[in-house]
Amino acid sequence: MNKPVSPPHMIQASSYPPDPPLKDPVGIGLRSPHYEELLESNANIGWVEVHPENYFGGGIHRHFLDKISEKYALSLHAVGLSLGSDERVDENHLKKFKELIDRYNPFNVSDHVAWSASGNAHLNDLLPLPYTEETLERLSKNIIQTQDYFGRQMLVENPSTYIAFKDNEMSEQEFMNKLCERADCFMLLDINNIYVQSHNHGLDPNEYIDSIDPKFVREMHLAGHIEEKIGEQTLLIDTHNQEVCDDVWVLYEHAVKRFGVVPTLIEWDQDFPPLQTLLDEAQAALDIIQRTVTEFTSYAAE
Amino acid sequence: MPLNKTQKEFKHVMLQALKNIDDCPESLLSLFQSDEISVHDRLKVYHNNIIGSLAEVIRTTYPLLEKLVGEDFLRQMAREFIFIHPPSQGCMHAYGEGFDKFIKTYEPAKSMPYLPDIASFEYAMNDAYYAQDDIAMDADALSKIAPEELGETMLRTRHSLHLLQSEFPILDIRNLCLNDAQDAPDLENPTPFYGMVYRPGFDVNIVSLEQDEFTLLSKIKDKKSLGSAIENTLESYPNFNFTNFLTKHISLETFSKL
Repeated sequence: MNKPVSPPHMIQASSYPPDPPLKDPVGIGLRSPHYEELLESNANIGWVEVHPENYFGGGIHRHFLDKISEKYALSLHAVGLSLGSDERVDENHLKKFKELIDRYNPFNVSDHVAWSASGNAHLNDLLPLPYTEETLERLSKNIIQTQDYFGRQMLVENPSTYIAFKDNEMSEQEFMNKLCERADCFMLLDINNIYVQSHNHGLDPNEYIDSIDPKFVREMHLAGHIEEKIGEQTLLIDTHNQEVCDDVWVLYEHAVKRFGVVPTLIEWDQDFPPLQTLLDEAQAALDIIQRTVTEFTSYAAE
Repeated sequence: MPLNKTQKEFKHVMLQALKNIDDCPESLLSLFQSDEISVHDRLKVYHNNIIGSLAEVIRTTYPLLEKLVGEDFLRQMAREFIFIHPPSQGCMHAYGEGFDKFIKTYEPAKSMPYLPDIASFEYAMNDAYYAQDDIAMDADALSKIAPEELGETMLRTRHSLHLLQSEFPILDIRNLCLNDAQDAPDLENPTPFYGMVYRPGFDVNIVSLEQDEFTLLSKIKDKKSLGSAIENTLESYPNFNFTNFLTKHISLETFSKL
C-alpha cells in the first residue's frame, strides 16, 4: 500500500554506487520491539540494518532476522569490533560476525572509526581517536585484518565525539578520506554525527560534507541526538532516541546533492517510538532523494 | 602519548568512580583540547555513557535482583562490579557472568544471603535465552541403539541447559517477585531448590528436579557415559527409576539430537 512513489526514472541508475545493491534506497534500523509489526506490514522501505552482536546467539532474535531478511535486504552494522584499538581485532568476534555474513549475505558490512577495547576490557562505547598518522596506520591494519577475514570490503562510520585531541595532525574529514584510501574500504557517512561534531568542535558541517570524497560513500545514516547542558554551554550527545532534527534534514539534502542516491538508514537505538515514526522518517528521506535527484538531473540536463 | 598508552589511561580513568575524574592524571588531561567546557566535564560524558550503559545491561539481565533490592541498590552494586569486572568482549548479552560471585563478596548485600543464588539463576536464564540453537533428541532415538551399546552411549543435554541448586527456594522467591500477592517464603527454614533452566524452542523453561534426576543430569552434563551416570546415581539413590526419568526428559526435550 504505502510503497514508495518513486518512478524509477526519477532516480538515475548512474548515481548509485557501482553494483546498485537496492531497488529502494531508504532503510530502517531493525530492533526487537518492531519485529512483528514490520513482518506484518508492507513498509515503504528497501532494507533493514541490525547490529550483528545482537544475533551472535540463537533463539527468537535469529528467528525474526531469518524471516525479515527474506522480505528486506540486510546490512550488518557492528558496534563491537573496536577497530581503533591499538591491538588486533578479536578473532572470536570476527568468527561470529562472519557466520552471520555467510548466513545472510548482507549488502553492506560496517563498524565505526572508534575504539572500545583496551587490554582485557571492552568499554561498550564508541571512544574518540586522535587523528594522527599512528592512528591511521593502526586503524587501517585492523580494517584490513577484518576485510581479509570476511573476504569482502567493509564500510567505516564517522564518529560523534565529546572531546578532541590536541595533537591531531589532520581534520576528521581528511582522516576519513585517507583511511578509506589506505585500507581500501568505504565510508558510512552519518549525517547526524557530522552535525554533532560540528556543534561540539566548532566545524562547518557543509564544508565537512564537501570535503568528503564521494567515491568512498556507500551508505548514510540519519538519527536523533539530545542536548546536554554543561554550565552555560551545550554538548550534543548522539543518543539515537529522538527524531532527526530539521538542521540534519537540511544537511542530508546537501549530502544527497553531493553523493547522489546512497542507501540511507533511519536509526533508533533506545526509547523506541512506534514503527510508523521510523517509516515516516524513511519517507521523508525518500522525498528528499526524489526531489533532490530530480532537481539535480534537470539541472544537469540544462 | 602513544595510542596504546592513551587508551590504557583512558580506560583506567573510566573504570573508577565518577568523582575520581576530578583527580585524573595530568598526563591524560593534557592530551585534550579544553574550551568553555572543561576536559573533566567532557570525560564525565564518556564515564556516564560507559558505566550507564553497562549498568543497564546488568539491570536487563537481573530483573529479579532489582525487584528484591530496588533500582538504586542494584545500580550501585552493578557499578562496583563493572569497575572490577568490565566486559572482556564486544558482545554484551554475555556480560554479567560472575555477578553472583561478586555479590557474595559485596558487604551491603550480606544481609540477603539468597541474592547470589538468585543471580546465578538469572544469569542461567539469560544464557539459555541467547544460547545457540540445537535440535532435540527424537523420542525413539535410544530405541535404535543396540541394547549392549546403550551403557556406552553419551547423551548430550541441550546447549542452553543449566543445572541449579540452592539452599533457598529460588522459585518461591521468583514468584514473590513476579506476583506481590504471593506469601513470602520461609527463609528461616528454607526448602532447598534443585532445578534446570533450558530453552527447547524460543522460550526458556524452568523445571524443578528431584535430587536423583538432578544427580543423573549432572553426570550426563559432565560427559559421563549413560551406564556410568546411572550407576553413580543408583549408588546414592537406590530407588531411582530410569524409565520414568527418560519418559519425562524426552517429553521435556532435555537432550540434544544424538
